[in-house]
Amino acid sequence: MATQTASELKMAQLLVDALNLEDMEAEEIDPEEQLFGDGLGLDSIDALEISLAISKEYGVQIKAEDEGTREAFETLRSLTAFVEKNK
Amino acid sequence: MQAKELKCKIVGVGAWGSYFENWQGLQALLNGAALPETKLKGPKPGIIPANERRRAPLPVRLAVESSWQATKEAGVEPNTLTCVFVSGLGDTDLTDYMCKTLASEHKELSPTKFHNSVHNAPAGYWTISTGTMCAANSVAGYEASVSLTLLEAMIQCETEHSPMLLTFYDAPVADILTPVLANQETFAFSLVVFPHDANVQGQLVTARVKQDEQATWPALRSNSDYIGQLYAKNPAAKVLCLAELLKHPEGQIVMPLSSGTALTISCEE
Repeated sequence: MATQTASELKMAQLLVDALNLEDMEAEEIDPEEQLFGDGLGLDSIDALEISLAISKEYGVQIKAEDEGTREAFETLRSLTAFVEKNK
Repeated sequence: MQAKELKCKIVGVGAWGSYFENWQGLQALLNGAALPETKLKGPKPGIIPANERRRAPLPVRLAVESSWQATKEAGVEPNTLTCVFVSGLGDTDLTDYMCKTLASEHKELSPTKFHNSVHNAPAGYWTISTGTMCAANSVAGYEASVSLTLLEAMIQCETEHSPMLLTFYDAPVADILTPVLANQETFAFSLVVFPHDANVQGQLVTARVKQDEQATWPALRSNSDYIGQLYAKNPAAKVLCLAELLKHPEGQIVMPLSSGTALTISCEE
């Protein structure tokens, strides 16, 4: 597993809390693992929950139709980078 | 008024609470067993797929776990049962969340919490998890929730001649509502009932509606403080008087039903 940065760990904690991930600690999310589909196994409702949690925590709006949204949701690393860039 | 009799057979029981994980555990407490040292947090019903289970709030997990147990004990496929779910209080944590969020500056609601905030959320999780296409009704009747649900289910059982699942559940009340709603206990109880003439082993129960303006919930045999608190404050736990009748099927119990009526229940061995 790749090493998490401090900001990635904070984002991982937001995911664990917002999605109520059972039996999973923030430290266990591989920053380079796919969040959706085969990786962490998240789904479309989780995408909505993540957008809401990021909007409340960081004030960053993620819109479904925006270019770059799909890329941002790929991994913990890309999501953290997207939020850092748009804060 | 000639009271009409409703009859059914109880063939399976499920139960879950902070100090018991099944009907056997609840019976032990009703029999006077000491409370276990550890208070349980909440069930994790395996029948709900993992991605849905992590979204399921406590009242849903209570109802589904207890329902699953009752169907297992009855030896029936859960997707063959018409259902009646009841909670006297609903999910007060979600009620509090919705009110607070809608009164705040940022009114965006969590889609999961919004989805879970309806009163028939447990029925929804149950029907999706079991794949049942049978009807699922959701009742709310505060202090009369138990008697209303027994009446509803027994009428359906008799008129439709179909086996039924009844699930009673109530979770601790959100802090902000404790001045008006006292319940701080977790409780779920389920029954699988069959028509009285079905060729299955079970306890025959008879219910009658009668005019009664004075009916109050009957005293329990149990002298456990914990059971007493449950019975007094958790609307779903009013079913404990029926649970005791199943264990000691002599005589009858009278439950308040409305301001002018009561439900009388008797039970055979």
